[in-house]
Amino acid sequence: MTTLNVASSMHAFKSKVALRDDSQGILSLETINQKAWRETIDKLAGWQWDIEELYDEGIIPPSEGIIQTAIELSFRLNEEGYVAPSSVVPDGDGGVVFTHRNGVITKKIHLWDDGSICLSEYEDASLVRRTKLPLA
Amino acid sequence: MGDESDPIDGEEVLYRRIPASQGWYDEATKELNSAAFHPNRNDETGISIVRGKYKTVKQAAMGRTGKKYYVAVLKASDLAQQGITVASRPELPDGKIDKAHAELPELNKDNRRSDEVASLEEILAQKLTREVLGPYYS
Repeated sequence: MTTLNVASSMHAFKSKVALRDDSQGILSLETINQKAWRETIDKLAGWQWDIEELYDEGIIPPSEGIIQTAIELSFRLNEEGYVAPSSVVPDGDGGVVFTHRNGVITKKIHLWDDGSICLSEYEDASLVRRTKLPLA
Repeated sequence: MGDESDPIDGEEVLYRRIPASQGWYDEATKELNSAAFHPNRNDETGISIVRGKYKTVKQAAMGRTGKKYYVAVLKASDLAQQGITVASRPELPDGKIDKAHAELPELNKDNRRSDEVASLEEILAQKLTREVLGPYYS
Protein backbone atom coordinates (compact mmCIF):
# COMPACT_ATOMS: atom_id res chain seq x y z
CA MET A 1 0.00 0.00 0.00
CA THR A 2 0.99 3.60 -0.43
CA THR A 3 0.31 4.56 3.06
CA LEU A 4 2.68 3.74 5.66
CA ASN A 5 6.00 5.15 4.66
CA VAL A 6 4.24 8.45 4.13
CA ALA A 7 4.41 9.70 7.67
CA SER A 8 8.19 9.50 7.74
CA SER A 9 8.31 11.68 4.62
CA MET A 10 6.23 14.44 6.10
CA HIS A 11 8.54 16.16 8.56
CA ALA A 12 8.43 19.48 6.72
CA PHE A 13 4.66 19.28 6.77
CA LYS A 14 4.34 18.31 10.35
CA SER A 15 2.80 20.24 13.19
CA LYS A 16 2.64 18.10 16.27
CA VAL A 17 -0.16 18.42 18.74
CA ALA A 18 0.83 20.25 21.88
CA LEU A 19 -0.01 18.34 25.01
CA ARG A 20 -1.66 19.73 28.09
CA ASP A 21 -2.25 18.32 31.50
CA ASP A 22 -5.78 16.95 31.77
CA SER A 23 -5.55 16.02 35.42
CA GLN A 24 -8.31 18.50 36.27
CA GLY A 25 -10.79 16.85 33.99
CA ILE A 26 -10.25 19.18 31.05
CA LEU A 27 -9.87 17.35 27.78
CA SER A 28 -6.28 17.49 26.65
CA LEU A 29 -5.48 18.73 23.17
CA GLU A 30 -4.23 15.23 22.45
CA THR A 31 -7.63 13.79 23.32
CA ILE A 32 -9.43 16.41 21.24
CA ASN A 33 -7.12 15.64 18.35
CA GLN A 34 -7.74 11.91 18.61
CA LYS A 35 -11.48 12.57 18.63
CA ALA A 36 -11.12 14.67 15.49
CA TRP A 37 -9.17 11.89 13.79
CA ARG A 38 -11.88 9.45 14.89
CA GLU A 39 -14.48 11.65 13.19
CA THR A 40 -12.37 11.77 10.04
CA ILE A 41 -12.06 7.98 9.99
CA ASP A 42 -15.78 7.58 10.69
CA LYS A 43 -16.57 9.86 7.77
CA LEU A 44 -14.33 7.84 5.45
CA ALA A 45 -15.85 4.60 6.70
CA GLY A 46 -19.29 6.09 6.03
CA TRP A 47 -18.31 6.50 2.38
CA GLN A 48 -17.41 2.81 2.26
CA TRP A 49 -20.85 1.91 3.54
CA ASP A 50 -22.75 4.22 1.24
CA ILE A 51 -20.62 5.13 -1.76
CA GLU A 52 -23.81 5.89 -3.72
CA GLU A 53 -24.09 9.13 -1.76
CA LEU A 54 -20.96 10.42 -3.50
CA TYR A 55 -22.20 9.74 -7.02
CA ASP A 56 -23.23 12.98 -8.69
CA GLU A 57 -23.21 14.66 -12.06
CA GLY A 58 -19.65 15.13 -13.32
CA ILE A 59 -18.15 13.45 -10.24
CA ILE A 60 -15.85 10.42 -10.07
CA PRO A 61 -16.04 9.07 -6.49
CA PRO A 62 -13.06 7.40 -4.79
CA SER A 63 -12.81 3.62 -5.13
CA GLU A 64 -13.16 1.33 -2.14
CA GLY A 65 -9.38 0.80 -2.26
CA ILE A 66 -8.62 4.52 -2.13
CA ILE A 67 -11.03 5.03 0.76
CA GLN A 68 -9.33 2.17 2.60
CA THR A 69 -5.94 3.76 1.92
CA ALA A 70 -7.27 7.07 3.27
CA ILE A 71 -8.46 5.31 6.43
CA GLU A 72 -5.09 3.59 6.95
CA LEU A 73 -3.29 6.88 6.38
CA SER A 74 -5.54 8.56 8.96
CA PHE A 75 -4.78 5.87 11.55
CA ARG A 76 -1.08 6.25 10.93
CA LEU A 77 -1.04 10.04 11.09
CA ASN A 78 -3.10 9.94 14.29
CA GLU A 79 -0.66 7.49 15.85
CA GLU A 80 2.24 9.71 14.81
CA GLY A 81 0.62 12.72 16.51
CA TYR A 82 -0.28 14.78 13.48
CA VAL A 83 -2.96 17.41 13.82
CA ALA A 84 -6.31 16.14 12.54
CA PRO A 85 -7.67 17.74 9.39
CA SER A 86 -10.42 20.35 9.49
CA SER A 87 -12.09 18.48 6.66
CA VAL A 88 -11.81 15.43 4.45
CA VAL A 89 -13.54 15.47 1.07
CA PRO A 90 -13.51 13.57 -2.20
CA ASP A 91 -11.61 15.41 -4.97
CA GLY A 92 -14.21 14.59 -7.64
CA ASP A 93 -11.60 12.64 -9.59
CA GLY A 94 -11.34 9.43 -7.58
CA GLY A 95 -9.10 10.84 -4.88
CA VAL A 96 -9.41 12.24 -1.35
CA VAL A 97 -8.24 15.57 0.09
CA PHE A 98 -7.43 16.20 3.77
CA THR A 99 -7.37 19.91 4.61
CA HIS A 100 -6.09 21.60 7.75
CA ARG A 101 -6.66 25.32 8.18
CA ASN A 102 -5.01 27.47 10.82
CA GLY A 103 -5.53 31.17 10.20
CA VAL A 104 -4.04 32.05 6.84
CA ILE A 105 -2.12 28.78 6.65
CA THR A 106 -3.76 25.90 4.82
CA LYS A 107 -2.20 22.47 4.49
CA LYS A 108 -3.51 19.77 2.23
CA ILE A 109 -2.78 16.09 1.81
CA HIS A 110 -4.07 15.00 -1.58
CA LEU A 111 -4.42 11.24 -2.01
CA TRP A 112 -4.80 10.73 -5.76
CA ASP A 113 -6.87 8.01 -7.38
CA ASP A 114 -3.71 5.96 -8.10
CA GLY A 115 -2.65 5.99 -4.44
CA SER A 116 0.11 8.57 -4.79
CA ILE A 117 0.17 11.51 -2.41
CA CYS A 118 0.87 15.21 -2.70
CA LEU A 119 1.40 17.58 0.23
CA SER A 120 0.68 21.27 -0.30
CA GLU A 121 0.98 24.30 1.93
CA TYR A 122 -0.65 27.65 1.23
CA GLU A 123 -0.30 30.99 2.92
CA ASP A 124 -3.22 33.34 2.34
CA ALA A 125 -4.23 31.17 -0.66
CA SER A 126 -0.77 31.35 -2.25
CA LEU A 127 1.00 28.06 -2.80
CA VAL A 128 4.27 28.12 -0.87
CA ARG A 129 5.29 24.46 -0.90
CA ARG A 130 4.26 21.29 -2.69
CA THR A 131 5.81 17.87 -2.34
CA LYS A 132 4.90 14.83 -4.38
CA LEU A 133 5.55 11.49 -2.76
CA PRO A 134 6.19 8.51 -5.04
CA LEU A 135 4.03 5.42 -4.97
CA ALA A 136 5.24 2.98 -2.35
CA MET B 1 -10.53 28.00 -28.42
CA GLY B 2 -13.67 29.84 -27.30
CA ASP B 3 -16.58 31.27 -29.24
CA GLU B 4 -15.16 34.62 -30.34
CA SER B 5 -18.57 35.82 -31.55
CA ASP B 6 -19.81 35.99 -27.97
CA PRO B 7 -16.93 37.27 -25.84
CA ILE B 8 -17.22 37.39 -22.07
CA ASP B 9 -17.26 40.90 -20.68
CA GLY B 10 -15.25 41.72 -17.59
CA GLU B 11 -18.40 42.71 -15.73
CA GLU B 12 -20.05 39.39 -16.43
CA VAL B 13 -21.02 37.26 -13.46
CA LEU B 14 -20.01 33.61 -13.59
CA TYR B 15 -21.29 30.60 -11.66
CA ARG B 16 -19.61 27.37 -10.63
CA ARG B 17 -21.98 24.62 -9.55
CA ILE B 18 -20.96 22.82 -6.35
CA PRO B 19 -22.55 19.45 -5.53
CA ALA B 20 -23.50 19.35 -1.86
CA SER B 21 -22.88 15.59 -1.89
CA GLN B 22 -19.11 16.18 -1.93
CA GLY B 23 -18.97 18.34 1.21
CA TRP B 24 -16.96 21.03 -0.57
CA TYR B 25 -18.92 23.86 0.99
CA ASP B 26 -19.42 24.03 4.74
CA GLU B 27 -22.47 26.14 5.53
CA ALA B 28 -21.48 26.43 9.18
CA THR B 29 -18.01 27.86 8.59
CA LYS B 30 -18.72 29.31 5.12
CA GLU B 31 -15.52 27.65 3.92
CA LEU B 32 -15.25 26.53 0.32
CA ASN B 33 -12.81 23.72 -0.38
CA SER B 34 -10.65 24.20 -3.45
CA ALA B 35 -11.69 20.72 -4.61
CA ALA B 36 -14.73 22.57 -5.97
CA PHE B 37 -12.46 23.81 -8.76
CA HIS B 38 -10.41 20.65 -9.25
CA PRO B 39 -10.55 19.32 -12.82
CA ASN B 40 -11.22 15.62 -13.34
CA ARG B 41 -10.32 13.23 -16.13
CA ASN B 42 -13.41 14.26 -18.11
CA ASP B 43 -12.52 17.96 -18.21
CA GLU B 44 -10.83 17.69 -21.59
CA THR B 45 -10.66 21.41 -22.36
CA GLY B 46 -11.30 23.02 -18.98
CA ILE B 47 -13.64 23.02 -16.01
CA SER B 48 -17.16 24.22 -16.66
CA ILE B 49 -18.52 27.61 -15.70
CA VAL B 50 -21.99 29.05 -16.28
CA ARG B 51 -22.44 32.55 -17.68
CA GLY B 52 -24.74 34.75 -15.64
CA LYS B 53 -25.65 36.58 -18.83
CA TYR B 54 -27.72 33.60 -19.91
CA LYS B 55 -28.77 31.75 -16.76
CA THR B 56 -30.06 32.54 -13.31
CA VAL B 57 -28.36 31.17 -10.23
CA LYS B 58 -31.11 28.59 -9.85
CA GLN B 59 -30.70 27.48 -13.44
CA ALA B 60 -26.93 27.25 -12.94
CA ALA B 61 -27.52 25.00 -9.93
CA MET B 62 -29.53 22.38 -11.82
CA GLY B 63 -27.98 18.92 -11.77
CA ARG B 64 -28.99 15.37 -11.06
CA THR B 65 -32.63 15.01 -10.01
CA GLY B 66 -33.03 14.78 -6.25
CA LYS B 67 -29.57 16.18 -5.53
CA LYS B 68 -28.65 19.44 -3.84
CA TYR B 69 -26.23 22.05 -5.16
CA TYR B 70 -24.58 25.30 -4.13
CA VAL B 71 -23.34 27.92 -6.57
CA ALA B 72 -20.07 29.84 -6.27
CA VAL B 73 -20.36 33.35 -7.69
CA LEU B 74 -17.38 34.85 -9.53
CA LYS B 75 -16.73 37.85 -11.75
CA ALA B 76 -14.92 37.62 -15.09
CA SER B 77 -12.66 40.60 -14.46
CA ASP B 78 -11.43 39.10 -11.16
CA LEU B 79 -10.35 35.97 -12.99
CA ALA B 80 -8.69 38.00 -15.75
CA GLN B 81 -6.64 39.87 -13.15
CA GLN B 82 -5.26 36.52 -11.97
CA GLY B 83 -4.50 35.51 -15.55
CA ILE B 84 -7.32 32.98 -15.68
CA THR B 85 -8.98 32.76 -19.08
CA VAL B 86 -12.74 32.33 -19.39
CA ALA B 87 -13.65 30.86 -22.77
CA SER B 88 -17.18 30.81 -24.14
CA ARG B 89 -17.85 27.19 -25.16
CA PRO B 90 -21.51 26.89 -26.18
CA GLU B 91 -21.03 23.50 -27.85
CA LEU B 92 -21.28 20.75 -25.26
CA PRO B 93 -19.49 17.39 -25.56
CA ASP B 94 -22.77 15.72 -26.53
CA GLY B 95 -23.23 18.15 -29.42
CA LYS B 96 -25.98 20.22 -27.79
CA ILE B 97 -25.71 23.99 -27.74
CA ASP B 98 -25.84 25.93 -24.48
CA LYS B 99 -24.97 29.62 -24.79
CA ALA B 100 -24.39 29.78 -21.04
CA HIS B 101 -21.59 27.21 -21.06
CA ALA B 102 -18.04 28.46 -20.63
CA GLU B 103 -14.80 26.91 -19.46
CA LEU B 104 -11.58 27.78 -17.65
CA PRO B 105 -9.02 26.27 -20.05
CA GLU B 106 -6.10 26.65 -17.62
CA LEU B 107 -7.65 23.98 -15.41
CA ASN B 108 -8.02 20.79 -17.43
CA LYS B 109 -7.54 17.03 -17.27
CA ASP B 110 -4.00 17.10 -18.62
CA ASN B 111 -2.57 19.49 -16.03
CA ARG B 112 -4.84 18.64 -13.10
CA ARG B 113 -1.97 17.44 -10.90
CA SER B 114 0.31 20.38 -11.64
CA ASP B 115 1.48 23.03 -9.19
CA GLU B 116 -0.15 25.65 -11.40
CA VAL B 117 -3.58 24.08 -11.05
CA ALA B 118 -3.12 23.48 -7.31
CA SER B 119 -2.41 27.19 -7.01
CA LEU B 120 -5.32 28.35 -9.18
CA GLU B 121 -7.83 26.09 -7.40
CA GLU B 122 -6.99 27.66 -4.06
CA ILE B 123 -7.11 31.21 -5.44
CA LEU B 124 -10.48 30.54 -7.08
CA ALA B 125 -11.94 29.14 -3.86
CA GLN B 126 -10.43 31.55 -1.33
CA LYS B 127 -9.92 34.78 -3.23
CA LEU B 128 -12.10 34.93 -6.31
CA THR B 129 -15.35 33.38 -5.11
CA ARG B 130 -17.44 36.39 -4.07
CA GLU B 131 -20.17 34.38 -2.38
CA VAL B 132 -21.69 30.93 -2.28
CA LEU B 133 -25.45 30.72 -2.80
CA GLY B 134 -27.88 27.92 -2.08
CA PRO B 135 -28.50 25.16 -1.51
CA TYR B 136 -30.81 24.55 -4.44
CA TYR B 137 -32.58 21.27 -5.12
CA SER B 138 -32.66 19.74 -8.59
